[in-house]
Amino acid sequence: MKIVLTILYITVGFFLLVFLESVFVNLFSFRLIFLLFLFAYKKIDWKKLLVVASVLSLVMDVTMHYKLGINLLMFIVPLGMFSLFSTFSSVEDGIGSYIVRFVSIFLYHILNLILPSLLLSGTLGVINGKLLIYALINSLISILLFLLVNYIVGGMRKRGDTSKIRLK
Amino acid sequence: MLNRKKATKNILGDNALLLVGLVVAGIFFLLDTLSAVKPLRDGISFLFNPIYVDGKEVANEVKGYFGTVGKIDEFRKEFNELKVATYEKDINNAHYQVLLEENDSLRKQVTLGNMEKKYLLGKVLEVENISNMRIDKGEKEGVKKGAVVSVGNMFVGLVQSVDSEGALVVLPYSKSSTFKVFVTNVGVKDGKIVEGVPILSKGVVRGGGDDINIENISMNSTVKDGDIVVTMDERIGGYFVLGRIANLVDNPAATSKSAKVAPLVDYDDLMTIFVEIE
Repeated sequence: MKIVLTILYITVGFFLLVFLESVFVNLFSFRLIFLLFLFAYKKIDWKKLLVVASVLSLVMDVTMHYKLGINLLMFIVPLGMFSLFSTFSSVEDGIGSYIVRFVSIFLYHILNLILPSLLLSGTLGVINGKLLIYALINSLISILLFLLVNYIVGGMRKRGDTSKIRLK
Repeated sequence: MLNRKKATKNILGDNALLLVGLVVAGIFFLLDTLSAVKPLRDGISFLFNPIYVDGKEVANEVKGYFGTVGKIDEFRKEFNELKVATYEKDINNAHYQVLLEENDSLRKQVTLGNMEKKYLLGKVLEVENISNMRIDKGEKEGVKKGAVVSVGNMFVGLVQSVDSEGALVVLPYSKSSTFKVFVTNVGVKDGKIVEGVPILSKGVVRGGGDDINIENISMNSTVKDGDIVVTMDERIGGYFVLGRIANLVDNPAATSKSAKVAPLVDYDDLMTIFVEIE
């Protein structure tokens, strides 16, 4: 029963995520899924994350009419850069962690501009100052959103801890 | 020591995600070059495309709404411009209508049978209780008390009082208005009373305030509803059409017939009139 419920939750979650991704992409040209992966990276088991990332990237590739694997590649490259930075300095908290995340998100947006076109037609796609500014603004908003989510999750954890203390 | 091992395993695990992810992406990419994954694409498309399209539509609706709200100032400006343009068109149209009406009145006046008299074109300022009419021509222009006011061959009224800038005309509806008329069945042709008009009966027209009454119609006459009432009074001095017979009362016990007169022109709608000045 628990497995059935889990499958059901995951399926509904996939549909909801695709819907939200579609809304955000078309409304603000803003990719939500990468933020989730960045948030979940190093927080949950990598195997589970890989499965979810693979399935979601497949879905997004099909719905956005990309070649299969493009979205996964666009997730992996900025995560790789993030991982590379994490070997030199702490990316757990502090301003530095947010700067690294910001750079990763910005890289993701740049890849979003060039990679699909490169792998579909062999051309680099269109990159101009306006699009770069949009990417920069999107990255800034993303990092603010990330900060907000971290703050909320941190608050929830704290509340959980105090309840534990009270129980003792 | 144990913690260090665990940390090393974690780093490897996270990096393994990147390595395996790259491999999986590569496999996906290669598989997509084969037509073997088409059923997979079709299946995913069947399941997720409607959701994606729904999301897109929701986004477009929200975008459209906020786009409209954002452009509200522009829309307001455009609305005001359109309003001004509409007013300008209305004004032009009204001006054109006035010219048209004046032209129509002039044409009627030109076809007058009696061309010996001189007429002055005037404008109606006000109609009071369909009994009196104020016009914009007065003593200064040569208008005299008792002058006939008409439109073509249609009788409008008699000038009752004159000042330097305007005059007051008594319409046939007024209770103080009374004059001699005759009734004919020939009617008018092209706004003119044709010659050799058969007089069916003579009568007297009196204003009733709300209506115009005709009395003293001969009992032996063959007057009927729709016949034309023409003025025949020395104060008017010419033949002008007043209106048509309506609601003829034919009482065998009475010594004469009576009826109402329906004017040919609606005095409330008149804008241009002609005042006899000579």
